[in-house]
Amino acid sequence: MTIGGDTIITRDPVTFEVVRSALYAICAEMKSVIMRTSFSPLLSLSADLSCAMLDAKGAVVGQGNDIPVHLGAVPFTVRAAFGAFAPETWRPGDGVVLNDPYLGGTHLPDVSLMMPIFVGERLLGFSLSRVHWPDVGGIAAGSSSVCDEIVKEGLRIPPLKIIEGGQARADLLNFILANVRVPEDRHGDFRAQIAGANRAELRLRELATRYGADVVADVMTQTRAYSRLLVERRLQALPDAVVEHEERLDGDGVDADVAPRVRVRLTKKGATFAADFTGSDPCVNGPINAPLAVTASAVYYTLLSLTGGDIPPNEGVYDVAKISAPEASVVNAVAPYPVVAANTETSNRIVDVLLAALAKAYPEQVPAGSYGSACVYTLGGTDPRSGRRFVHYETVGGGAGATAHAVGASGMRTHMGNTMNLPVEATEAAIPVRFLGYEIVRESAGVGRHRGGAGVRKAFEVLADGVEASLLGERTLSPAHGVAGGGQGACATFICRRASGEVVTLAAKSGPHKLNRGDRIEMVTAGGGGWGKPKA
Amino acid sequence: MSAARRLLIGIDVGGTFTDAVVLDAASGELVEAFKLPSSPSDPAQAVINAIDAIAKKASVAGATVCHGTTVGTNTLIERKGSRTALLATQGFADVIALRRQARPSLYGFDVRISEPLVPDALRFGVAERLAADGSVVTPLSGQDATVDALRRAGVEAVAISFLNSYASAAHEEAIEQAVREALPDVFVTRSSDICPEFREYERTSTTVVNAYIGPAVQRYVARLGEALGARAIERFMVVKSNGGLTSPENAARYPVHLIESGPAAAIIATAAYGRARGLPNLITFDMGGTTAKAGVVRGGEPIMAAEFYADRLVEGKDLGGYVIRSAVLDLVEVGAGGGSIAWLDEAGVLKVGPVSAGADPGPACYGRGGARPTVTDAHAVIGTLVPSLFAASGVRIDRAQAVAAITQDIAEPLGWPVVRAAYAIIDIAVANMAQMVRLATVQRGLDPRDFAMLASGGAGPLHAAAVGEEIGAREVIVPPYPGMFSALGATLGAVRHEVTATVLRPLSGLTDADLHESFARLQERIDVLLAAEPEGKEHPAPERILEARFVGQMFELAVPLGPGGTAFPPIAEIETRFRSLYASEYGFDLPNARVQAVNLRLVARLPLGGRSTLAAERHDAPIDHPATTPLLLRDGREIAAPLHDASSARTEPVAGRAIIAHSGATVWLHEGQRAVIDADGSVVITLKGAAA
Repeated sequence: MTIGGDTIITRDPVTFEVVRSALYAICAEMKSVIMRTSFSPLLSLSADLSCAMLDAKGAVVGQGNDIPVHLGAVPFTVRAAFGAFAPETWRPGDGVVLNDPYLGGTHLPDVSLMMPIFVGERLLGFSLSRVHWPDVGGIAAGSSSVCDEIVKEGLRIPPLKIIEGGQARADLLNFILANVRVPEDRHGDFRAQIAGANRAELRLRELATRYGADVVADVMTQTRAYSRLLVERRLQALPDAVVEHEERLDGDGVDADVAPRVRVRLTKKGATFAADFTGSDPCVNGPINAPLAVTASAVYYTLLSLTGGDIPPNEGVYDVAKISAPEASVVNAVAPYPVVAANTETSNRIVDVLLAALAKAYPEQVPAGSYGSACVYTLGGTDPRSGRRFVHYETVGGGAGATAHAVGASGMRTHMGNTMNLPVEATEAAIPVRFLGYEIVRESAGVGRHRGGAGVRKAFEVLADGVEASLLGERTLSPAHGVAGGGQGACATFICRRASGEVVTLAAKSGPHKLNRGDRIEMVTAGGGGWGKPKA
Repeated sequence: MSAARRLLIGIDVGGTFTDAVVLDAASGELVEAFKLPSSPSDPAQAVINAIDAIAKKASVAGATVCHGTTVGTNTLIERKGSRTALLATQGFADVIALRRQARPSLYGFDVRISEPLVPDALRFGVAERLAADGSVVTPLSGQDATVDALRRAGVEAVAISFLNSYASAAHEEAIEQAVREALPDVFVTRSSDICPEFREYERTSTTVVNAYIGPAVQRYVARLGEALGARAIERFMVVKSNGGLTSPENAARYPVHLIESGPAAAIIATAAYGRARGLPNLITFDMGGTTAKAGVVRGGEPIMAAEFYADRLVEGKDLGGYVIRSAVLDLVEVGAGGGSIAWLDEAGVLKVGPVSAGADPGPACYGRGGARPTVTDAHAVIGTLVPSLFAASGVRIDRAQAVAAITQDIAEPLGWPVVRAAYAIIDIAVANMAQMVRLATVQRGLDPRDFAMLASGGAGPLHAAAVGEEIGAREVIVPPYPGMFSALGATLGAVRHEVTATVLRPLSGLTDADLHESFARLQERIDVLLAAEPEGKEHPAPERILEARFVGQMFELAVPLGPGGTAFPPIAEIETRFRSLYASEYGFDLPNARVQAVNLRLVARLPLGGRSTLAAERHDAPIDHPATTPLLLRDGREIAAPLHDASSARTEPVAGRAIIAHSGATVWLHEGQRAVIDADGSVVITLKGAAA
């Protein structure tokens, strides 16, 4: 097929469309299998996992409607896995696991499993799942707390061939499970990842049987060209611009008064899109340093959204974005700087910095700033009712930025994450906490012709002694920006009220805190910015 | 026609037409089947008109009317429900706005989410709190102030949903009583009555939808009940989303259970038809003007789901919708219908749907002002839409308009002949629908090759042979009156009720006594429902089900425990059954993981009347039609394709390519396929891929 001089689709366009959509459907089915067989509410109820389909060279050719920060980092995961195990050495039934944030991972709790899919002798592609394990060791339950180096964050797994010829290696698996909390549940989650990969293999083989392996391989190549062409067409339609913006992140939870700067210079010229983070501050001691994979994910997300949000996402799109980020900076972390909060917090702030820059050129096309966070809180301890150890991990929604067309959504996940909340009733039945409120804080929305989304208040009391709590939030100090005269959103606040009556204001990143029976935590997430001047 | 004959009447109200199927209640024989125009501003009127039309020819005294209704769905989709308040635990009244906090689409800055049905000002926090085990943390207080606030707000409906009320209904019951006493005209729903299961968003959403559409459904049911009573109709039953029938009383109390009434009726008809033909495993394929739906019947029973998102897709965009926890026939739906519009994206790739030309303006070839090419237009170009067969319906097919629309939007930009573009449109639509059927089958571990596919809906028969071939179905069957299957299905259901209780305990900790006690309480609840049914006095023992999972998981599998009145299997046996179910679903067991009992469920079914077969007598007058009709092939050649009609049985196979006119619908038989016309009027197609 030839459009405007570009030859994209050489085969029958009907077959192209059918096989292309099947590649995406396989990812959705893989995710559903993992959710149904996993042992963590974080997976089965919150869906904190992502799935991708790769071609024989490891390029992303399909992905689920999952978590943008997981998905954008997939090309980095593949490079790391191939760096350790050359593509030609993979055999049927092999599986490589990794979570190293400096080497293809995002943060330690996100554990990736990549498995090849053969049709007969022929390597046709790979499946990849990235699954958030609720715990991978480290200084605090939930592996999402505040510390000053990566070894304290948990077990770091460089690429390991953990499955060989269909058999999981018990020695490696036992080693990993010996270093995490509630290992029996983590074992179940790992089994779920394998079940997902098996389903993907089955489906891709069926596709090859139906249409032929050559056709499937061709469509894999063409689907990248197709998405790339769409992105380039839409970029071309925007006026060229060079825009810059910088903001400071909230503190890092370790050193007082540290507020590193994220700076970006965006260049949109013709069909190209480049983000240069030169001028961003060096790594800090707290866990807010973003690995390059995370920063790149934020750029990919912004590009996909700027170009309409409806272009099938794959490596063809990712290839368009050119990214440069200074080594050993908050947007390109290196060992041993800790990273855990970058995935959920810094990544969302990077998107807001990109949006604020874009607003200078395209105010009609981009929303105002959001709550800039996933707002993660973790709890760990022993349930006195059952004597069972527990780990709890949940995210809290907040305000989205308003756009030229609509108000911002309130209390929803925005941008780089999309995990669901856990039902209050499911949590109260499972662990010793009681929630005191979960409601929209209406006054937190930025004013505007279209108001921003409002943040939420989520508060709970612990019903046991010795519960360990950590918090990773954002925007306690820096409000979400408005666009075109819209107002800023209100800042977030985090408070601990002890049963003794003592009230402590918590920093955006803090913990682990020891909580006893009757102690309360109250989280209020930030509001989104407004769009346009409010009516007088 | 003897005056003593009692009638069984099925009526389905669609957007354009209201279908009526009239059977002899004793023999199950078809008396007549007809369509008349719907009355969208007052849907009950079309039903009454249908009854009056029947009454002109035969006595309707003593008849039973079974009805699938879209009143609840339309009230929701058109946002014409009642002014509804939500009473929730203080601090948690935004639960319906916060949802599960995930946005429905991932990329893009235009995030749209279905608006809550209860606005901010009508969400009231009530001082009360229960713990997860149902014990009281904060006693209920302030009922008077709450009632005053409701009165001042002038609400027509109230939804009550307190945290942890699945474990104890005490607080919800107390406030319900206070509201009912003070505001007797207000429609009240409490979550512990309609959906006593844990997960507050899902339960509250179900309760709110029930309250929101409640008064409208109540009025509709009352009006019909009165009108039918005045015509000496003896019984009036409504089809629920689970395919069961229910009394007007229960329908008016639980309108949320009717939200998929129409499509459910079609599946029930499919299942009954399959049982009558000895086909226990069927894929149902229903294609109308804007969407296509697929469901699965296994072992004679439709596959069910526990929840459903209503009004999720708006103009093809996922807005999240409104979750409803209620047993519903599990259907997969895609935006592919006869009216689906074909278009090229910026890269020049052909897409079909999800935007539809709808009934107005409709496809270009209808000549009502539609200018964009649709699937129907592609058929008009190829010749599979035979103008002479449409004459009776009053629709005039203008092929030139179809050619113009496809040429302009598709063929010219691609540099293709118009016939190639037309075939490509149909190929894409067929591929979309085949993907849908795969979602309904292979994703549940079912192999389509073990199934026959049964086509219904106005556009189903035209595409069934191609979709069946694509998925590798064993055979494709187009039953008599494929366009009226929902009306037929309404007459074939049984009364069906389900009640559930959440237990959330280790299975090994459950005792036989626990099961006895819990199911006894469920039995009391189901007895109340059955007492409101006309046949509720004597009924077969309900089925008992335990839903279980491994501790730590969040998705359950249903383990049957046998009919009520029999001994429970030993707990160890229940665990064994669960493990073998799990292994067959996911391919492995987890011997070290403990099993948790989550829900107990009781399902009661009362067959209505004595029909078990579908003995549709043939009443079609032979159609006056030419022996052949012009058909364009993919290469542009025109042939004279044989045109048959299915008004008389034909055991000698028709060979494709051919067109078969079939009680108002058209069957397209492709090269290499063969079809026979059965004595009961079904067109049975043998596919190319099938073994001879």
